[in-house]
Amino acid sequence: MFNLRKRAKFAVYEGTDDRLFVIANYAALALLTLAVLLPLWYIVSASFTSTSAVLAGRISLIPTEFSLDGYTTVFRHP
Amino acid sequence: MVSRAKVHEAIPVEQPIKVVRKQSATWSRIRQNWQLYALLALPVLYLIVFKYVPIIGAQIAFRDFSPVAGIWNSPWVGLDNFTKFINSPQFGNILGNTLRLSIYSLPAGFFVPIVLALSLNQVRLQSFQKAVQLVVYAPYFISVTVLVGLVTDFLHPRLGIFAMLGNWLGFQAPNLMGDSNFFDHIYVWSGIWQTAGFGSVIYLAILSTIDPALHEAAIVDGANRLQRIWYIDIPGLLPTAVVLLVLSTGNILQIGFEKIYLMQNSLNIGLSEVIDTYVYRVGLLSSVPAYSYATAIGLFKSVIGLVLIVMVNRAAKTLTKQSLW
Repeated sequence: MFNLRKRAKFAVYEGTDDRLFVIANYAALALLTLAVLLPLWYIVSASFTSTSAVLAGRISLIPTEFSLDGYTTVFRHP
Repeated sequence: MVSRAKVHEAIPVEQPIKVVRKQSATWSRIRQNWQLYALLALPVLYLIVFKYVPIIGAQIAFRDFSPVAGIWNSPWVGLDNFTKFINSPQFGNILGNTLRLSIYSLPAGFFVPIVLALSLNQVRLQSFQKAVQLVVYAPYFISVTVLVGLVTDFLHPRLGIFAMLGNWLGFQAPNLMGDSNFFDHIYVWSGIWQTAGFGSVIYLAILSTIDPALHEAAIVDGANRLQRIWYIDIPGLLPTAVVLLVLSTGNILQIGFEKIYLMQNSLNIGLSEVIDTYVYRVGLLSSVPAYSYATAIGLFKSVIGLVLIVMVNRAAKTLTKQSLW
């Protein structure tokens, strides 16, 4: 999207504080990404799950009862 | 001496000529760049037709509007509609809710994108950075309606993720959507969940324009990453951040109508009724729509927003030397 970083490649001695910072930074960003991705994935998964399974709360990251009913309804709707 | 006198003589003769030339120069410049003005004409026309002309209709705030008499012939009532709103028993509650939600969401929505951008900017691994960016932008493109549906699903007392977690760990999860105490947090943090990624784009773009020589010099001087963020990145972001903050202050009373309206239910109405939803309720939903009253409330909100934006802009000007105008 953006080429934000075009840094010169130079070897820099990184102190312990910097290494800790980088690890914490990566961990925080990974957590954040999961926090954003999982709900979105959940919705996609729920859209492919049959209505009865959704109502019963049987939703997981892979559709438990695969069905395209939701999509067929959308396209049949006048 | 002679030459100086000549100069003095010359000035009054030259000045009128100068003015005439200047004016014609402006016009010839406009004629030369007429394409630019033609491009500008459409947005200006849009502003006039859709933003300024409706202001004429705002006069019904000072009239007792009836659809039969029309805007121009309804009787004037002065400030009656405003005093009616201020004296109404719900006034304190509505204004309090509006201010509480704005004062909560404004700083939270302001700082999170900046922190996210600073954090993303520290990532060297290109693929990781791209992946994180792609994912955190995504929710911005979901409609508010879908977002509220998503939130409702997740916080469902029986099927939601907290309920399942509660079952698993053996505690009873609270009914988050039904408890009005959680309304503020759900409203603010679902908004941040949705917009933080997109909001960080502008900050990331600015961070990429910061001169790398500054960072290199700081590294040579032995600054660690946090110090470089604090002394180089944050000062670089400050001008833009201030302008964005001033702009968002103008909307302080204009918090998302749709989202709050969608999130309202009979259990949280006491804490979720804000000016916009109240205007909708009394102005359009009720069986006897109070057009004048609703317009007066809307105008009241706009005036407060204007006063706030002027105040914050002045404060920003004196504190940080940065301002919107």
